[in-house]
Amino acid sequence: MFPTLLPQLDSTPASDEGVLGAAEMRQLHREFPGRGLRVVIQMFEEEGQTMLEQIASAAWRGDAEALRRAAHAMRGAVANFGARRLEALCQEIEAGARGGDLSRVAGQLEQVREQYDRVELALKKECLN
Amino acid sequence: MIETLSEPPLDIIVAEDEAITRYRLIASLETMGHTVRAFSDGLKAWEAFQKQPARIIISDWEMPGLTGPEFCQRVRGAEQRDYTYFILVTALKTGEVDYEIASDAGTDDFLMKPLTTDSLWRRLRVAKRILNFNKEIGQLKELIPICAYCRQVREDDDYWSTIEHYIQEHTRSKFSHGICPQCYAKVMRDFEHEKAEAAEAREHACAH
Repeated sequence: MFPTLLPQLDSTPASDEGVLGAAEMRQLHREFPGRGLRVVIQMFEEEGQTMLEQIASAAWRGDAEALRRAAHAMRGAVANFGARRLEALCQEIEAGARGGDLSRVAGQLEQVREQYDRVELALKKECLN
Repeated sequence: MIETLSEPPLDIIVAEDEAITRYRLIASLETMGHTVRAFSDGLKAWEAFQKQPARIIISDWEMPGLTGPEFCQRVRGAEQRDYTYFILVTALKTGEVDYEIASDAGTDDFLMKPLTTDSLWRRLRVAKRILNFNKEIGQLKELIPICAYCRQVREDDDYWSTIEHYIQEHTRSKFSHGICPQCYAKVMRDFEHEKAEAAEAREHACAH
């Protein structure tokens, strides 16, 4: 599964700052040496996709509370990898939804998707290292 | 590097709906030698606690079923002999008001996301220390063999010591001696009585 992704890695933006946290990734490598980290990353791929769908679905329905919860859940998950940019985006959605403001959510959702893809690619790269 | 336990393993309930954090908690706790019962739902975790209480609970804040503080409140309401140490897992930007809510619910400690094995291990060290103190206090409350007459306490080696000495030895508590209002009134009454008796004896001696 992982080797097929190698060509895509070339298209990763030059600046990876904030995509993954170095300290958090070191910690994960310590906790799950060898192939152990793959299990965590696969878990993220499954969980992350569901979370993305939940965010999008709540935004589409205009359900602020469901949106807040979904963004909060995504923030908690990506914090494991120190994915600060994605965390910050989720935090913005969460704060907006808490105040009932969904006016910017369409643009935010686009940014979340884009950042999520970067995180996912960076994690796959971590596995190959 | 985290050491595994030389002490008996603890039964720990983990309540966390986020799969990766839950997986990391289970892996870390089991590596430390503990037994883990993990749930992705606050209500299911609470039901498991009711069936078989745990000495330590590590719970997320936001979960389906019950929130972390609600879960904690229920645990506090149901507590029997053994204390349960409740650790709440919080997000980075948890506000002061939230911490207050959690403290009011009876939370003992907080663990911030993202988790690290080191921070988890440190929290558990504190938890074990508190639970051991709690156990000792429980034993003191329940099992002190005390003389019904002189109030001396029997030690393990059959030696009888004062209650102050016993508690000081077992809990490192120190005593400051004072007098309560009831004893003060009694002592003063006795003192006045003795004074009156002495005066009467003196008068009696003078008369003769």
